[in-house]
Amino acid sequence: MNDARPDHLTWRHWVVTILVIAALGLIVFRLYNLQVVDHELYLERAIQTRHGDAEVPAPRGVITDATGYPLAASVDTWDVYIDRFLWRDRDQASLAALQLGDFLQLDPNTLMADGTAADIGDILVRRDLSYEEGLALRELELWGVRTLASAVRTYPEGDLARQIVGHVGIDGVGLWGVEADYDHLLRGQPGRFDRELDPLGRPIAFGSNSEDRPIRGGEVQLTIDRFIQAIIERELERALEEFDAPSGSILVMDPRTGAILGMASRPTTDVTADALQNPDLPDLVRNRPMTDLYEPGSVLKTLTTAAAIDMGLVGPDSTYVDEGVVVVGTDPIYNWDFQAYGEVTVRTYLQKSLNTGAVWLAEEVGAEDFYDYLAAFGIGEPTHLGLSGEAEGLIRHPDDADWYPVDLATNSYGQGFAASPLQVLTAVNVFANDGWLMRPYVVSRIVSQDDVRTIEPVSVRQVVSSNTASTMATLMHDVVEGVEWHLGQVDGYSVAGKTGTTIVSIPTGYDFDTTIASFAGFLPYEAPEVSILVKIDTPGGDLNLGGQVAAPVFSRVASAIMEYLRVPPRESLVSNP
Amino acid sequence: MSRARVQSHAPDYGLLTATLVLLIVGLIFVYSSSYVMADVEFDDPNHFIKRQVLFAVLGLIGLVITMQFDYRHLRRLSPLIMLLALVALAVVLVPGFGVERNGALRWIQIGPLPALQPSEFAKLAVLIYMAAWLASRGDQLRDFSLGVLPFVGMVGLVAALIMLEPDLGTTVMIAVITGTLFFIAGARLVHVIALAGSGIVTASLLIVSGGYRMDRILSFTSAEEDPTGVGFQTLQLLVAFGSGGVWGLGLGVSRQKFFYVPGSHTDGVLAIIGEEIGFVGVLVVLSLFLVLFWRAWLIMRRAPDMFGSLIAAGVLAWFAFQLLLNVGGVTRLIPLTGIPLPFLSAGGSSLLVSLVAVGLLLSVSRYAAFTPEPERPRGVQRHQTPATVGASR
Repeated sequence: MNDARPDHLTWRHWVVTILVIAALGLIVFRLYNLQVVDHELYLERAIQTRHGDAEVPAPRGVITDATGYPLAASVDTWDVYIDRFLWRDRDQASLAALQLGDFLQLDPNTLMADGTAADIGDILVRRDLSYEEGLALRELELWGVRTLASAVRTYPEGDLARQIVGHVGIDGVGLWGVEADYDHLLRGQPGRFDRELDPLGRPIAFGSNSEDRPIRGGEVQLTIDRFIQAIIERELERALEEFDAPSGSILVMDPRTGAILGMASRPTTDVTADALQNPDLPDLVRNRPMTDLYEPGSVLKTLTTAAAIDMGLVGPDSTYVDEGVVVVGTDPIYNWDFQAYGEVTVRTYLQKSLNTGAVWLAEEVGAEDFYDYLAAFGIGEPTHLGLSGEAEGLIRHPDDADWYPVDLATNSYGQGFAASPLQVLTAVNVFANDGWLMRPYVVSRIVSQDDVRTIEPVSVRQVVSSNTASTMATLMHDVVEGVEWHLGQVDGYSVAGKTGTTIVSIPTGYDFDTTIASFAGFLPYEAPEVSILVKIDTPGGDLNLGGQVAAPVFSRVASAIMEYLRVPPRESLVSNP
Repeated sequence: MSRARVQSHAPDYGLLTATLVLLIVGLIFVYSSSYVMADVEFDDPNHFIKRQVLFAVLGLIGLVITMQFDYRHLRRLSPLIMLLALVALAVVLVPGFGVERNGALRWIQIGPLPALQPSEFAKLAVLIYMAAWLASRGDQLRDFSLGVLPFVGMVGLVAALIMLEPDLGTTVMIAVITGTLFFIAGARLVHVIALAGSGIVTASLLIVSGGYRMDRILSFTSAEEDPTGVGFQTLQLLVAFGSGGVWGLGLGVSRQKFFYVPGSHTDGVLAIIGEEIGFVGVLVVLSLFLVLFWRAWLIMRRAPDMFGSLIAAGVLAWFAFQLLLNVGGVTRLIPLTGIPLPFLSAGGSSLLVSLVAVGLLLSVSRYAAFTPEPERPRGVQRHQTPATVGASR
């Protein structure tokens, strides 16, 4: 150093210099703490802040009818949210509110009020915007407006088969029907996004991210045919009006497989917001043919008769003498018309549906075998058709303390115990299927991401011999076709069937004016395609017998189904060719 | 001392080198920290870097011109420079001339150039003017009416004009730079302390009166209570530094620049540097500043005259205090002040003026005395006060 040079340095310079160096030292110490000592802490905080852990909903599986047509499907939509944190910027927010209001046809002032009511959190302003509209909205890139992928469940056939198909709540959970029972299959497995996001929720370009792709929900194919379902729902509603009845059911099955082709009951519900609030909703969404029990009435005489024939005790032409009344113990049992017909054959007894004949056959069979046969027919047992809520049945057996011999007599013509329409039709199907009982089923195929499961028809057991079955089919054919102008007849086809008129039990006994009119049958008799059970509860008009109320409904339904299935009519049977 | 004796020679290349390296580092990080935001808001990832490069080129031209210019002529020109600065500060307040952004009138648009900030130029003008004035005052500085009052009047006028924009950060910087010069030039300690005290009181009143300024204080003291509100910037700056660790996440791959650090390319750029190249990178950047300070310090010490030394001291104080206030703010040692980091923060006016200031330092360095001055007895300079040097002219 050359001391001759000018040197401006004074203590004042040193004071400032030392202060600056001290401050710099403090800053370096601070940076060391931030970046080295607390590095892990801040790294964790960074990950927490930027961590976008979003669930990606899995597309819910389709429910199709037997033809593969969707009865329930999910359509991609968008839910629109306002990010209130970003809307703290009131200038940007009011601009966005105007544009968003314009786009969604909502009041911008309301949007502004909702979006600025708090400083944090997202608020939903529109649920289920259509997919295309959502894309257009995203294009606008409005400030603090987010769109999240969502899906809305649509039912292309409206409320058709509503009780079977069910409904999905806004939280994506099936509420009833197949939507509820097969929810675990339909819902799939939601995926997960785990990525670093900027404060607007946009992924950071080179941030770490991982993604589990959602597994799409399985497809459930029903045995329900939407055309058959439409026919029976239409005819059921028409019948309830015509006969002034509060409720009723129609069940259509393929007797050879047990597949349920249509199942309808009224009253039902739609899925409007009001309807979903209805406290009676659980009653309205029942599949009554399987959940509700009734006393089957005279339809059951087919089973009693089959048991007697199968045991070889009688044939179609065996006779007994009808005196119009049978006394069992102390209880007199009368025919429904309080008439006596003298010597009648088994064929005639079924045609005229004489209670005395059923009692005669049941006593021939004997209590033990009678109840064994009923059990073999599946009466009083759940059928395990694959939907929840199925009723078991109420039936007393000779072992039970409250069983009396008169029960055998009343049970023989379908009173004094309860079964579901599904159990009854399943049992009647035996006569159209060579004596074999088929398990009813409503789901025919489940297609999941990596598996296709086809539900094959299940033969449960042979209840009666093939001969007995064909004899019974003939007897039932004679019930309908052997009587001129039987209302269950179908133009162009021969029908096997049986009416039933249940006297409804009330706490003090039976109310003879209150009936359940039913009819069970199958056609064409020669090669059965479908079996149908019609049940009209407590018709209010003058007509209340199965043959008067249920048979004509059966005829209309059967006729429409034959036409739809293109079953060729037999020309000899066509009345007005 | 005679001016003729001091020959011009090569400038201080050490200072020039440190400046150029800082400039390059600055351009790299302005690009890295701004392209995401630029892409989203301007549809052009290069929006900010283009402006920054333009001003770097303009600044380098300014640097070379200033370096070649004999700074001693500025002494005569200083009243004119000051006048121009005052006019510019006044014009910016006139609606129509001034460009308003975020509720502040800080910019002037001249022709096709990007908008300029007169307050940045005023910083340099006040510095030159003060250095000239203080160098000529001598012992009068110690007098209240001859020294303190004129000083307060001039600084107060500039400060008032800038506060009208309003821009508290730049006002504070001008007060700190001129105050430091006042102190170094030999003002009485009582006066300096009184001035510092009243400055702090004034600043505090201004802070309490302006809502957004109070938010900065709240953000400093209680960021955790509102981590997504007023505390957001403060906390996210720390997250950027902290998550960088020792070596950083890697050049260009900051996550926090995705809108987590507001002003990631301006005041917050060091946080992005800390996140991308870590503690080590920040130390390198701070070391570059230390080299720059050290060379400026030598120039200040060896300037041929008091004016040159005060200019060097002023520029040094300017860079050093801006660094301290900026880094102190982003590391939450003090509240955020909205002061840019010299050479590193995006901002055309700041960069241009900073480079011209370096040119000024280089100009002073070209006249630093190397030859012995035999007529001065040894030791006198060592013990004389700067005031007496100024008076000796």
